[in-house]
This record gives sequence, C-alpha cells and structure tokens, in this order.
Amino acid sequence: MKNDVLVIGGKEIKSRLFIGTGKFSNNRLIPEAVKRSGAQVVTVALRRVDISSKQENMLDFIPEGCIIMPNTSGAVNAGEAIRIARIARHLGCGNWVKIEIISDAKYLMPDNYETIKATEILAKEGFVVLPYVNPDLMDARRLRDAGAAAVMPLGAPIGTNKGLKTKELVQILIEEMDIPVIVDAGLGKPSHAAECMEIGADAVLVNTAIAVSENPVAMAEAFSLAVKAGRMAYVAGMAQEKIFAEASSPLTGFLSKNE
Amino acid sequence: MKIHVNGKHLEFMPGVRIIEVLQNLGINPDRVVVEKNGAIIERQNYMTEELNEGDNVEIIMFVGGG
Repeated sequence: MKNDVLVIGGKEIKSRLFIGTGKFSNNRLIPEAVKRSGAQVVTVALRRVDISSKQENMLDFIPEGCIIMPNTSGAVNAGEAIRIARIARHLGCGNWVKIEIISDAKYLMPDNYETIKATEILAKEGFVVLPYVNPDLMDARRLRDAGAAAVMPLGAPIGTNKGLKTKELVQILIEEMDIPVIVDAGLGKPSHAAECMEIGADAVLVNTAIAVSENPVAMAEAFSLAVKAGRMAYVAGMAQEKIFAEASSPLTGFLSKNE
Repeated sequence: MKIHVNGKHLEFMPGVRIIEVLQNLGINPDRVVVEKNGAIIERQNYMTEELNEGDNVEIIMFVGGG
C-alpha cells in the first residue's frame, strides 16, 4: 500500500474518498464531517447570493488544506458549464472543476455530449476537469482525449442511494481507462463504496449518504473506513469466486477414521 | 436608476460602483464573483467599475453541493 498513490492534476491525493457539502441539515456539521472522512477533495456548488437575507459562506466550513472542487450544477449545456467554471475560478480557490451538465430533471442523467464539449474548452483553459458522466467507454475516451483529469461515472442516479447499479460498465472503464475512474453519485452505504474500491475504482465521491444520515460525522468516518478497506482488498488481490465448496480445513487426518 | 441584481430590480444612483452595491447589500467582496452583463468583473475593478440604467448584475458565491 506504500506506493499506492492517487495523482490528479499533478497533485497527490491522500484520501480516495471525496465528499460533497450539499444537503447537510446544518453547515456546522461540515468541518467535522470532512475531518472525520479524511477527505482532501471537497465539492461545492455556485449559486446567486440571496440579496434579501444574510447567507453563510460555504468556505467558512471547509477545513484548510482541502482541494475545493466546484461543480457546474445548474448547467444544462456546455456554455453554461463553462461560464460557471470560470466564475468558480475567480473565487480564488484553485482550478479544479467537476463538470455536471444535466437537463433531465427526473433522473438527473448527465449529458455526455455537452460534457465532452465543455471539457475540451476548460482543459485548454488550464482547468483540472473531472466530468460527471454516464459510464460509456467511447465517451470516456473522448473525455480523456479532450483533456479530462479523471472520469466520474455515476453508480446510480444522484441522491438515490441505490449503490453501484452501473457495475458492469464502470468495470469496463476501470479496465480500459488510463486516467482515474471515480464513482460519483448514488452510493448510499459504506458497503457500496467498498464495492467500488474492491473492483478497482480509483476513488468515490459521496454526498447525500453522509449528509442526510442521522449522524453525518460518524457516517463520514464509516465511509472513510469502507473506502480504505475496499482499496486495501483490491491492492492485496481478491480470492476468486468458485462454483463448488472448497474446504478451508485440511481434508486429511480426520479423527476416528480407520485405515 | 434601476439595475437588475440577481434577478431583482434595485434602485441606485446613476454611476454607482460595484463596491458600493456590495456594501449596500452587506456582501463581503472577497467571497463573491460579480458579473456585469454576462462578463466577470475583476475584483480589483470593483472600486472603479460603474453601473448604469438597466445593467444586469449577478453576484455569485459558493454554497453546499455534491
């Protein structure tokens, strides 16, 4: 495990659990949840300031040393995502961006076509681009060629907590892609995160499952442990599945057996 | 004169500067990005950039998100 390092955008990332900051019942839970999760990469969104009331600033709740990864949520096409990414960079918290382009309100499915177009432009502008996508191998290759620093296929639709429903397709990306594959969205339990890591995902991004837990701080740690366990198992090499039983104890020297 | 700030019509003196609008709304200029008519205004220009009748201003910040 010593040399098992994840590098994205030239940076060594020490935690393979990325976490989101949406849906927390109270922003005051976020610093402790981030700390206990061990996450280094933390996502935020951009919105209009509500000019009729005093608003809390998310930056006050993210511990120092974290990489802030703004998402482009709200964008329905490449142009809007590019606009949001540029605004995010002007906020002075680095050049990472999670491209999220969605025009389907029911399942919140990412628009791969628009995402590829936005990736091409933003990567050229020097952004570290992590696109949220449907796990399609051809599109993942297009994204890599367009300059994406990683691909982030969905496990299940955002906020559904269903787990790794896209396993077969994500597995293909893991096998074929030479940039990190980060499972984003739909992971509802630590075991889902462990499953992603066991099949060789480079990282996972979790928001809802932590934020809406009755105890988000404890859940953040639970996910952290699951991600570590899953990764460690993947690196160690897993035992093969077999159809028939294979005894774990010796099949010789049984008691009371005469020659 | 009327300007549009985050979709709302607000009344200001002609030639009001961005920094004055932010101060008037109680917004910390270091924590937001301001767009005027779709173009990002650099923070160092908040003191000098003037607004005129009908200008469209967007003030944007980080919020929680996944």
